[in-house]
Amino acid sequence: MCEHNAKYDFTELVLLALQGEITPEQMERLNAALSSDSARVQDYVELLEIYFELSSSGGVEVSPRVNNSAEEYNTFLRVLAEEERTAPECELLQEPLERELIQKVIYPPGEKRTISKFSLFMLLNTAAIFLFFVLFQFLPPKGGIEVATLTDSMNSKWADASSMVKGSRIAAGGDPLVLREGLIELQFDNQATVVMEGPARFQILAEDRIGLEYGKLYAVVPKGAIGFSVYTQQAKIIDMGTEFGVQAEFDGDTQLHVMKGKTILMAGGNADTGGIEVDNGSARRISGDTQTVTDIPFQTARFVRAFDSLHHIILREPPLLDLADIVRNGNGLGTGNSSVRLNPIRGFTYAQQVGYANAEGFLPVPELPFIDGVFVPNGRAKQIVSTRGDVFNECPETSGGFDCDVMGNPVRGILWSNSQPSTIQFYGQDYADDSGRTCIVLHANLGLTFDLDAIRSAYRCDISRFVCRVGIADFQQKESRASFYVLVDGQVRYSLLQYQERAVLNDVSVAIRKTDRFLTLAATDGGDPDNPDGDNDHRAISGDWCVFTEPVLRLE
Amino acid sequence: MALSDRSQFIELYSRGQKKIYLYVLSMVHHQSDAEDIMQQTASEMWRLFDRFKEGTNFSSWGIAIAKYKILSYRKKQSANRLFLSQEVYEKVIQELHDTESYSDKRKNALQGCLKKLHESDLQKLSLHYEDGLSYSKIAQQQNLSKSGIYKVMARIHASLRICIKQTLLVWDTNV
Repeated sequence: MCEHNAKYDFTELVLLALQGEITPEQMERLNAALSSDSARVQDYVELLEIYFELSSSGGVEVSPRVNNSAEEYNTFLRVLAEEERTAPECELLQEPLERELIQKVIYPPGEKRTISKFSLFMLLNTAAIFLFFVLFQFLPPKGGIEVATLTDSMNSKWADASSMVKGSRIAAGGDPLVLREGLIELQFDNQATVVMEGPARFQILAEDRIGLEYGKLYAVVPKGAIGFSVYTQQAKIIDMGTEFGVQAEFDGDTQLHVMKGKTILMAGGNADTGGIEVDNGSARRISGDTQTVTDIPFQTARFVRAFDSLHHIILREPPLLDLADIVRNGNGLGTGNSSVRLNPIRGFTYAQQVGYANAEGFLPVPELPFIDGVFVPNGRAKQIVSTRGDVFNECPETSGGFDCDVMGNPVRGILWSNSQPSTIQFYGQDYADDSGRTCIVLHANLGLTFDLDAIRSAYRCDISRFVCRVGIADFQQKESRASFYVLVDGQVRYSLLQYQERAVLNDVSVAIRKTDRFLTLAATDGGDPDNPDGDNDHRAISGDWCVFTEPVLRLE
Repeated sequence: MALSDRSQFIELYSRGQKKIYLYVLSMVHHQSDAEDIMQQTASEMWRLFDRFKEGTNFSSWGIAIAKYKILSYRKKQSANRLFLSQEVYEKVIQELHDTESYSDKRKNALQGCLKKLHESDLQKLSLHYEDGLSYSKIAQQQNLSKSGIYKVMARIHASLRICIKQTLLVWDTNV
């Protein structure tokens, strides 16, 4: 899992520098980012500009009630200059050119100081005593140093009314905390992350230890935090570089499910006996009565592994993110609405495209958080495929027109073809909104770009692969060609050119690297002749019902 | 400097101030140090305005003066402050040069994007930019950790930057 979104991380480095709080290591990262990626240099300058405009020197007010101090200052300067120009002359007393030197001080050369061993010993002792008292004075009263931060919460209710909010720091050794309901995410200073599901009663024991009296937690422990331990009433689980879930019941029963890597499980109240290894894909139950350990079925979806309160996303399994759902204004997990359409002229819309139209350029779709924008691919001019300005250099020349919106899982019968309502079908199975199958329809010429960074940020995951199957729907019997493209940052990673088969699906699998930012799907008219004077059947795009079925991103 | 020239100086300075400040800030990337240098530069420009050749680029002249201030600052602060590599500074200068013509549009876009922010985010921006509170103070006031406030502010600034970009693209498309 990625710790931060790269976009925010970079911005954070710039802000740290501006505040003068950047560390050498962070400065090195900032320098590396700026020297390796020219887009970052642009981001850097843009951030400084925002900083300037919002500062007292700039001209943009954060809140309208505040006066524009820069403008006032300039007005003030103008008035001063005018005053200076029109004011009557007056005589100034002449100041002496040089100040009179009253006394010349000559300092004696410095003596070399010597420190005896006794003095040194006394000095160190005094320092130690001083430090002891100072530290004792300022340590938190309950003996705890702050070791973890509450980084997110969702529908959380605490037993204690004075309890915590996002960003609260939690000290080790404090009172147990009772989460009555909801979800919280704790980030330990050693970078281990714990998602806790209420109801739960737990206690932060140290930077690398948490006690769970009852409730469910899911821990993600990076290499640097190996050894992170969870204590329940009857067990101790030591991490060996893993992801695992622990469920502790009121009666002392404990379940351990290991999703990744390996853990060591020590059963028994004192947990000092030898442990057993529990590997990924396996689970154990420790009896609250007898402390015996038994194998139980491993359940991948038993624990909430991650969540994002901003986008109301809860992940119980590493998901396959459904891009058709994202096109439908969903979160990729099935919350979308098939009435949503994306149009290269109007953007996000519920209104259906009527007739043939031409469009140029790239249109951002700010309404959909994971979609960067849409466009009509045409290689006659430089084809931009992202808000960053990535260029699709291999884009073929097309008619430059389209007659259909980008759609995800179109409603059954809503597509109109051969003068009758139609539904996308392949191999006898349909892909309508109520079919349980998913698809993105890009009737040529259309292109659609997803913002992978926005997805990574919301899901706090890496993306490993884009997978789908592409084909031309067969409900319009016509011999026409169409081309399919999958681009990453403007570069072609998959293409199926001048394709004619109907009702046949072709596998697409594209690896996504951590640095990849934009994923673009595009369909073009395949170079068929275009007759603008005839009816729509004589246009180059006629019959090019290009479909990307089951389009998913694999998250890690 | 002739008194009649001073109004002209102020007019020119009002127009060129942003470019000079952005140059200083990008070379110094420490807000309060940049402000000090900017103050020294403005004072020096005021003093030397007689030597400014009418018809030449005022902000370039200001940047030339600022360069010396920055060099002297770096020499003094080499032990206390961290700097980027020369290669990066050259890229930044080039970028500053390239983006100049869009600055007014971006300012308008920024005004629109601020309106889209959540009220709590606006409040944090206001505490910093208008009330002059440091990030640490805002963190205290908002019950956030220091790293927490940086993350929040990074998110807000990144959102503004992206919003500006998207707004400009929409405007450019609609032209």
